[in-house]
Amino acid sequence: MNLVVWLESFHIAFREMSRHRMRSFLTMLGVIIGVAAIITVVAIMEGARHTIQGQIARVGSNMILVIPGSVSLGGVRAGSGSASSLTMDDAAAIDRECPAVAYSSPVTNSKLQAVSEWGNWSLNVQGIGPEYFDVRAWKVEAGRRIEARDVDAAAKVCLIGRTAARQLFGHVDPIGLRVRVGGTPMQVVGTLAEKGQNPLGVDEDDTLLVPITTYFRHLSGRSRPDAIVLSTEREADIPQAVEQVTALLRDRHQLTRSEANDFAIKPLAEAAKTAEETGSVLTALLVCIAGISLLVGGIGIMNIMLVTVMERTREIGIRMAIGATRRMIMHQFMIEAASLAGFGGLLGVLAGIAGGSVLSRITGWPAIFSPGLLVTPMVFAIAVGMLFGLLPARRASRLSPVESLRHD
Amino acid sequence: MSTLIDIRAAERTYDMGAVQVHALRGLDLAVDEGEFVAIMGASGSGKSTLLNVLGCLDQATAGTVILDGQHVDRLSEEALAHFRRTRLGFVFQNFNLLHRSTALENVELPMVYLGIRGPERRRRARAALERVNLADRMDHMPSQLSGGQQQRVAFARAMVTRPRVLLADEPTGNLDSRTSAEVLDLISRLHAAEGITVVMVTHDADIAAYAHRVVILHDGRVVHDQPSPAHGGPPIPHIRSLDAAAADRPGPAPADDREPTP
Repeated sequence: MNLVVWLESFHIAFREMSRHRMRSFLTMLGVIIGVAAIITVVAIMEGARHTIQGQIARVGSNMILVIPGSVSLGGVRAGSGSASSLTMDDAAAIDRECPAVAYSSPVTNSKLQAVSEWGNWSLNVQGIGPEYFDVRAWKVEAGRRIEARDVDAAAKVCLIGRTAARQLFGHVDPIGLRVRVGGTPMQVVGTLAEKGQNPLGVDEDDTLLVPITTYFRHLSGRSRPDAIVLSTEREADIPQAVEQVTALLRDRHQLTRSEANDFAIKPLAEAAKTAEETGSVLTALLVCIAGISLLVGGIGIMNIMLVTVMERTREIGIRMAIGATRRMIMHQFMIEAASLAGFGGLLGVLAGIAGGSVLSRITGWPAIFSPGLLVTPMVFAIAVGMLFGLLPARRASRLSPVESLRHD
Repeated sequence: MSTLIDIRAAERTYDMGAVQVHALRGLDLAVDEGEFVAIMGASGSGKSTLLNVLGCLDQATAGTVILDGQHVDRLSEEALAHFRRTRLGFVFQNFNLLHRSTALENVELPMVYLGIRGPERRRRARAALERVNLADRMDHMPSQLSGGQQQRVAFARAMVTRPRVLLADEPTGNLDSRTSAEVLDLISRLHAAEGITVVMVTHDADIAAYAHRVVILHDGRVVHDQPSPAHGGPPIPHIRSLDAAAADRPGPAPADDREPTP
């Protein structure tokens, strides 16, 4: 098959499309909608996945959260965290006795008022152990961490997040300055690097960290942590760590075989994986539906190509008389069908980019258009056009030249 | 002069289910290179079938058909298409131009299937249109041209590939007498200038008189084959009288002889 005949076929295809604009557009509509839907759905899902992964990475993907379990009083079950079953000794024991756990820290937190020389601000105050920074993979921007000696001595020191620092100190470097938290004066020894929002939309920079012992002694009357956070060296160690911590805590809490855990262990990576799996199932489902639209579009193309072959029977006869082989006629109509589908696919790509951008603005998730995402549905659309163009093209190529020339 | 067309005992039978229709029944015809032959006959005489067989649009069911040294009755469809493309030129009664293409594009068309590139194709198509005096109508659509002009475009299209044989099927059938004369002059001119072999089907003795040789078919056989009156032959007999003479001869019922209409 020579190039000149192919070029002529493309020329005819585009001339026919521009001759029957409305008909061609309606024929392409199925393909346009199919391609646009695939691109919109996948771009938004990809954006959502990317966002969640980023958030998980910031939280620390190897992080495990241990929280007190629910308490059951006379058959009435309070929610999780309602029992203060975890103790500082539990936290110390985990650190000591669970080899799969790399870092661990008890945590408490509450909303408190902080007052500096420049202003006051209500923020999230967290009481923590020295390894908290390692568990969360938080970085200190300036100054130093809260260290073991601060915890041992219940020192009145604190680290301050970016948002909190701006609210309390403006542009002044806060290190070495004093801030009163819940009436207790504390010295700022360090600032935290910026982290942004966590998966729940909470500003992680609007925080103030104090040693957990200081928290218990000066900021609240309590003596039990709200939770223990821990992390493993590698993601693969997570199941082992969960097992070790569970066994240790059951033993320490003297639970019998029939009793349920009075605490809960939540590996964050697992939650992320679940979310991701749900997302990909949903994506696959939506792409399937869009794919069906594309197939229906293909049937539309087949229908209109059959009409075209009927209408142009005389033309086919003339082309054959002049020397076109059956294969050339077949290719001509295949190219017409593929051009319809391809042009529809192109419009679908543009519509998909527009749809994804609009949806992105509504949902707040970024729309990610990878080159593969734009090219694959386009290739698929052309393949559908060729598949459904096959039957009409075969019909055209099998016409008898003598009879076609007599056709009106 | 060498024989360009050599048809021997050609038969063309259409299988119409219950009945067999015999359009050609043992037809013999030989045409030398450079001849201008008119083929006449009443409708149903087999002249269109003969032209389709000569044009490689159809194949004889029996007998041999040799065109330009090729046994075209043995060629595959692919090879027949190639043969049409390279050695034959067609002109039809209803012109058969592509009505969505300009005159120039119509003349370019056969060269597309020969794989000739755009600029060369346009150059040759322009020259061909100039030869039929349509230099100023190249970008017109067929609907913007008169019948005579459309037929001249068709001649340009048929001749642009320099075929061995020009096959004309009632080329003046849709034209008035003045335009017909112009078109026939054009054929005579092309025949004289390019030495091309012309086979023209017509039912009109006045048109046939332009040819150098007149062949008359009846019931799928040749019943008259003489030089035209202008070239020293006898007067062209009236087709109706030939039909009557043939009807007196024993043979199959004429009802079976009609060509099938799809």
